[in-house]
Order: sequence, then C-alpha cells, then structure tokens
Amino acid sequence: MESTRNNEVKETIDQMATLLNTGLDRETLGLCVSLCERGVNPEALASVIKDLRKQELTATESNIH
Amino acid sequence: MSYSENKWGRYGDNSPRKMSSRVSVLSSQGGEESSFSSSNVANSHLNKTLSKLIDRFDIPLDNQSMCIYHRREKKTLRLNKIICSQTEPSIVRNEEDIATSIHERLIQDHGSTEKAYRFGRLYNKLASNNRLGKKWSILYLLSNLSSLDVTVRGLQNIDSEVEYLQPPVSRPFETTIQDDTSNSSRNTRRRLARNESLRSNEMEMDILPPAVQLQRAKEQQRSDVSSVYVTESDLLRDLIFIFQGIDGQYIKFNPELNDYSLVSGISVSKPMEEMVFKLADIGWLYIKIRKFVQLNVDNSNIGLVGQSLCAALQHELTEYYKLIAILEAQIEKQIADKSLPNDQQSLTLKRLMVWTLDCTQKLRLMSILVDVCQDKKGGALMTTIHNYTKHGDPFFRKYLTEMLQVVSKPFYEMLARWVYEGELDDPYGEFLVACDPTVSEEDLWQSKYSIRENMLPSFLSKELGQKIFAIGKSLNFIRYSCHDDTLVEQYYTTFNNNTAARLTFKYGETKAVEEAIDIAYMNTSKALLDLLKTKYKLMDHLKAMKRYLLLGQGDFIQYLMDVLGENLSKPATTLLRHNLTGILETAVRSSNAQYDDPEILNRLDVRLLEIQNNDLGWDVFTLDYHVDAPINTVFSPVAMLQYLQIFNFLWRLKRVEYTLSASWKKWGKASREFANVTDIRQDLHFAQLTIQRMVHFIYQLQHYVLFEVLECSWDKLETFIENKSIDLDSIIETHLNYLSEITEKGFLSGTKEIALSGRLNNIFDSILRYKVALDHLHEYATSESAKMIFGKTGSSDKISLIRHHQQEKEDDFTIQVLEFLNILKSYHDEDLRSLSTRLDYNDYYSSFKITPQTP
Repeated sequence: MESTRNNEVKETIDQMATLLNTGLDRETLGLCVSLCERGVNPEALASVIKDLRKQELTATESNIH
Repeated sequence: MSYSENKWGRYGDNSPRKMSSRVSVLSSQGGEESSFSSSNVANSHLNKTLSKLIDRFDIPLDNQSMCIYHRREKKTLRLNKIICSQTEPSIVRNEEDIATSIHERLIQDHGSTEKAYRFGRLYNKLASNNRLGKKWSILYLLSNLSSLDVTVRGLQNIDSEVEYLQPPVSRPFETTIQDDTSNSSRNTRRRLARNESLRSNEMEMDILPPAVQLQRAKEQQRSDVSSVYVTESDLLRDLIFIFQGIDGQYIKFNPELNDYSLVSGISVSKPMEEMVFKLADIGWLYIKIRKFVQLNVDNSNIGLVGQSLCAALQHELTEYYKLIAILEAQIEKQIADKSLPNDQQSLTLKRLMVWTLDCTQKLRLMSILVDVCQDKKGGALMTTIHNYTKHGDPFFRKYLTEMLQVVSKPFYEMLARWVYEGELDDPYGEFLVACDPTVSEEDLWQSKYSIRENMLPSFLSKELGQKIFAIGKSLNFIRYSCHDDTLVEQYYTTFNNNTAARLTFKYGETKAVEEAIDIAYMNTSKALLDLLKTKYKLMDHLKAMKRYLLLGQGDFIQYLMDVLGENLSKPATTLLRHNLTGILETAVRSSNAQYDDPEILNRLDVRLLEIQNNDLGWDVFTLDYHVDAPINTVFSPVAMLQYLQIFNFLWRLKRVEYTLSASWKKWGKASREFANVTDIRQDLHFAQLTIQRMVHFIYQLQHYVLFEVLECSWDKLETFIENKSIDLDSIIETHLNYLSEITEKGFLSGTKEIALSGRLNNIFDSILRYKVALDHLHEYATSESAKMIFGKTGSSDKISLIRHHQQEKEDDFTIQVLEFLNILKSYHDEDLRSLSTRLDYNDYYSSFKITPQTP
C-alpha cells in the first residue's frame, strides 16, 4: 500500500518534471524531493542544481577540447 | 514551519572550516533554536543526499590528486553554503499559486492546452495525496528548473513590508473565498480571451490592499487549473431553475432515479453536493404538486371538495413563487456585481437552505396531502386531511387547518343548503346524503334518501350525521308529500332579513355547527309532526284503524256480524262485493260509527280476498282502510298487512263467539222446550255443559286479546305519539312495534306462537263442528218433541248416532284445549300464564288424564 502510493507520487512528480522539461531524471528527482521534504529552500536547491549543471557543462566542454 | 537551517550548521565529522561556517551560519541567521540532537541526524542525511546528488552529475575531475571524498566534501560545502544563504524563498509559500503559475506558463508556452491540462491532472493527483508535506517547494523547484521560456511570475513576498501596511481587512472575506470554487473552465477561457485588461489589472496590484491582491491573483490563477470546478453562484442559479421544475445547466432530472442529479463531468465538493441535492428535493416536490394540480383542476371525478383542494394548493404555490422571485432577484444581482466583495447579504448554498427551510416543510406537507388524497372525494377527503391535523407541531396544525377551511367550503355549503332548504346540490356525489331519483313520492321517506357513511367527515359525529339526514329528509317530505312550503319559506325569509342567523358553517367550528344543526332538527321535526297531526290527522287515523280493523267499535261490528252472518256462511263465490258494501253502509249508519268523521268513513271498505276452493264467505271477507300520502309513510303496506292479519284473527274469534252465543241462547230455551222429550234430557244437559265450557274458553281468550293485548299496546302507542315523539322516524318505528307486539301476543307471528295459532284454529273449527252436531241434536229434539206432541216415538238409533257424534266433537274439543293449554304453560310471559290459569280455571283440564296426542 505504502509503496504503491509512494510509487504513484513518484510517478506523478516525474511526469510533472518531464512536462516542465526540467531535465531531471528519476533518481535526481527523488533526491531533490527528499531534500525538499527535509526543508531545504527550493530556490537554493534550484541554484545548486543549476550550478552543478554548469559545472558539468564546463567539464564536458573542456573534455571535448 | 521552521527552516532548520541551523541544523545544517552541524557538520559532524567535518573540518573545522565548516565549523566556522557553521558559526557563521548561526550568527548570520540569528537563528531559531532547535534541538541539536535531531538536527544531527538530519544534517548527516542532508550531506549524504547532497553527495549523492553531486554524483548524479557527471562532473569530471580535473585534479586527480585530490581525494574524491574531499572533492565531494568541498562541493557539498559550497552547495550547502548556497542553500543556507537563501533560506527564505522570494515568493509567497503557496502551492496553488505555484501550480497555477506553472499552468499558465504551460498554456502560454505552446498555445495548446494539452500540457496544461495534463499538468492540471497531475497536480490534482498530487494534491489529493497526503504523503508529501512540502509540495510547494517541489513544485517551485520544478518550475525553476524547467527550461521553458516564460519565467514564473509570482507574487512578491511582501512580508517584509507588512509592518507598513495595514493588516488585511477582511477575515471573513478570506474564509468565503475558501468556500468559493474557482470559475469554470468556460469562464476561464473567456477570461483569458480578454487577457489584456487582466494583465493591466495586475500591474496595479500593488495599489490595492494585499488581501485583495491575493484574492484577485488566486481567482485568476485558479481559473486556469482544470475545468472541473463549478461556481457556487452558478449552482445557485441552477437551483432557482430547479425550484420551478425546470432542468438547470448542471443539475438535471434523472427519470430513472426519479431524482435530480448533477451533470456528469463536473465535480463539486462533497458537502456542497449534499446541499445541492437537499435543495433539489424542493424542486422535486414542486413538480409533484404541480402535476397533481394540473391533472385534477378540470377533472370532475374528484368532485367539488377535491377541486377546492387544488385551489388551496395553487394558492400555496403562488406564495412559493413569490419566494422564488425574491431569490432569483438576489442571485441576479449578485452575479452582476461580481466585483463587489461578498458581504452578509450574499446568497450562498447554506443561506439558501436556511431560507427555504420553511417552504420545504410546506411543500413536503402538500406532497403528502397529494399522495394521500389521490382517489378520495368529498367527506372522505376531508376526513383524511383532518386526521393529519392531529399533529404535535403547531406549524403543521395551523397550516392544515387553514387548508382544511378552504377545502371544506363546498361541503359546508352543501350542508347548509340541505339543512335549511332540503335541496341536495351534489353534482359529483360527495355529500353524505344520496338521493335516488327513481323513487316515487310515496316512498320518499323510506327509500329516496340514504346516507353515504364514508362521506361523513370524521369531525362530525355519527348522530350528527343522522340528524342532518333526518332534517333534510323531513324538509323534503314536508315540501313534497305534505305540499307545504311554509317551513322552507320561513327559513328563507328569516335568513334573508337577518343574514347573520343563517350560520355559514366553517371548518373548525364544530361546536357551532352541532348547535345549529340541533336547533334546525328540533324545528323541522316539530313542524313535521305538527303537520302530520293537525293537517293529516295522524291520530285520528290510528284510532279509526283501531276501531274498525281491530274491532274496537263494538256495536258496529255486532251489527255487521248480525247482518252478514248468514251471507257469509254461503260459499264465497256467491258473494257480491257491492252487496257487502251496501251492508257495510247500513251497519255504519245504524251504529255510533255514523258520527265519525266522514273522511274516515270514506276510507272504510270491504275487500274480498282471493277465493280458493270450498271457501265460505267467512274466509274471504275482510274490511279495508285506505291510506294515501303522506300518512302511508306511517301506515306502510307492511303495517297494513299486519292490520289485516289481526283483523282476520279477531273476526274469526268473533265469529266463534257469535255462534256460541247464538247456540247458548237457543239451548237456554231448549230444556224447557224439550221437557217432554225425556230421553234426551241428559243430552241436553251435557250439551249445555259443553257449550258452557266453550263459551268460557272463548270469552277468556277474547278478553285476553282485547284487553291485555290490544288495549295495552294501544295505550303505549298513544302516549308515545302524544308526548315523546320527536320525529317521524320514531313514530314509524313505534307503530311497527305496536303491531308486532299485537301479532306476537295474538299468536299470529313468531315461530312458537304460530304453532299455537294453528291449535287455536283447530279449536275454533272443533267448536264450529260441535255446533253443527248440536244443530243436529236440536233438530232431532225438535222433531222428537213434535212427534211427542203428535204421539209418536222416535227411533232410538238416530239419537245414538247423534250422541255419538256429539261425544266425538266434545272430546275433540277437549283434546284440543288440553294441548293448547299444555303449550301455553311453557311460556314465561306473565300475561299468557294468567291466561292459562284463567282458561284452566280450577285446574279443570289438568284433571283430565288424557295424554295429548300429536297433532
């Protein structure tokens, strides 16, 4: 019961994320959700993730070169 | 909720650098106190999660030398710093806000609503789920990370500015908003169409007080969420239609369920749905009542009372319409002025329920009445409604009483007409008196009118019903049979001059009705009886009956007997009626009867019954008395028949008496006459003894019949009619009782008595036969004496024959008497016992040891 509901929720959020074209995959999303549940400021978290993305981007770019 | 930022200041196993940052964090926060022990766990979890998150991103490391752990640590720290630095979001923490903003974005992004719709569905699912606590933050996160073009626009967080502004004005304002559902999707699209004005409105938002800003924004944004909500005011408008029996937009009548149901596809919150259904009930009741009224308003089967019920219901429905009109005006005004804030006067579902409470009750009552009065008419209908007035609730009682007053008007009108004029104005057969028009005038009293028991309303007692019946009947009787209109005219003129005297009966004034009817009853009955006694001489006729048919006028009867005696002994076929009438006339003239009222004498007549074989005149002769209306209601054919029966009996009795007295006279002289005929002296003696016995018997019987039976009953009847009678019915009844008493006591009716009467007839016959034998003896004696004179002796065998004959008859007589007495003794009636004592004087017959033979 619990797990199905959990799954439902995860499913829902995942769909929402895809709809909004956030670029987050499931596991990341799960982590973010748990962070938010913990009380993390979403703006901050969002900026963290953007930051990470930027880092990734620069890293891949630099890797290409 | 408290952001446990200070928890993050706890880096359990981290470097002192982080410690300092923790301190800095703490100091920068000026933070809230929280339990460090729990935050420890949270903190490490946070770290762990962060590290995992970092791992998700495929960030290659340029500096291979650093330990992965430390690298991660560094990143974690940095991220933490970022996180900690922004503790408060910059927008208002409201998930619906975010959701609507996302929704809007989605709409605006592609111009297609599919995504928005899907999002809406997902959001619904999420919203109903209780597992996530901070949906808002998740949504905000997602929206922030979404790579769609349009940025989220949210309300600026104005908390910091709160001190400078006044607190939100309307608390209730907010709460009603909570009840209010957002506009339907239809409205939303319409609204979006005129987007520009909205947009411009948004710009001026800062000018308005924050609460209004909030509300506006909510309404606007909420309107873009899924198209499933229906406004309360829409529902209200629908309900107004429902109240009038018309299907609304969202609430339609479902004939399968015979009930109202919401159109599928829209969703309303559960409590609202319940309220809507409760209110829709009103519409259902209304339809039912209206159907009934329309069906029956022209229907003649239901009668006048039923139609007045329809009229009363119609009147009530008019009141109902008024209420609906008020509500409708209210609704329209409210919808038109949508921009005004709701205040105390606004119409909500709850308020509507309260306002319609009264009228719901009334409608329910009406529908119950409709159900109950489906097939009833007239008085029965009133009885049914009256039963319902015995309700404890004064509201019901009052309502039903008023309705009943209207409904019972036609009934009371009919009643007044019947009681005061004797007219039955009942086209639909609703009144408690029914008239049979096929019955002729003669039978008016007995059979023309009858009571319909079930049409008598239950609040009028049965005796009252009987009285009402009697009054009307009497009035009719007086009018038609007695041809006397004075009474009715008298009523009419009295009431015309003094209209207050003619009481218009009303429901609820049962006592007044009863009194009025009592008075009318007294008056009418008295008038009727007076009429009968004076104009139609009821008493005189009764007396005449007694005198002639019951042989009261002795001299007349005697004369009649004298003259008719020989005639009647002949066979019946020789009798001619007009001879007999002639004789009757002479008898009347020569007795005291001639001084009687000629009208009565005119009615006296002779009648010849059907002639059968071997009938003597005695068997077919009878007197007759003509009666016509209105007296023939008292002297009904049944009564007349009984009179004739009694006459027959008495006539036979008289005849026997007559015969015996004649014989007695004859034989009184016989002993002297036939003194010279010595051998028959003993016969003569015996004959005289026998005659004596017979005479005694007959005289006792006659005495009994004439005095104890006839006179006593007559006395009773006379006193009753003179003093105690109050109406015609009682007179008729008493008269019949009188006659039946006579017939019973005269051994003419009743099973036991009829056996006796048979025996009496036998006795009479035996007496008559004996007389014949005596005649023989007499002849013989006469001839013997004649012979003696002439010196001849008679033959002895003739005398023995005669003697034998005589003996036989005498024995026969004795036996009959004995049997008669035996049976007589078995009665308990005092009079009969005294009769038997007298008949068996000195126990003469009891000394006979002859056993009674079977008849």
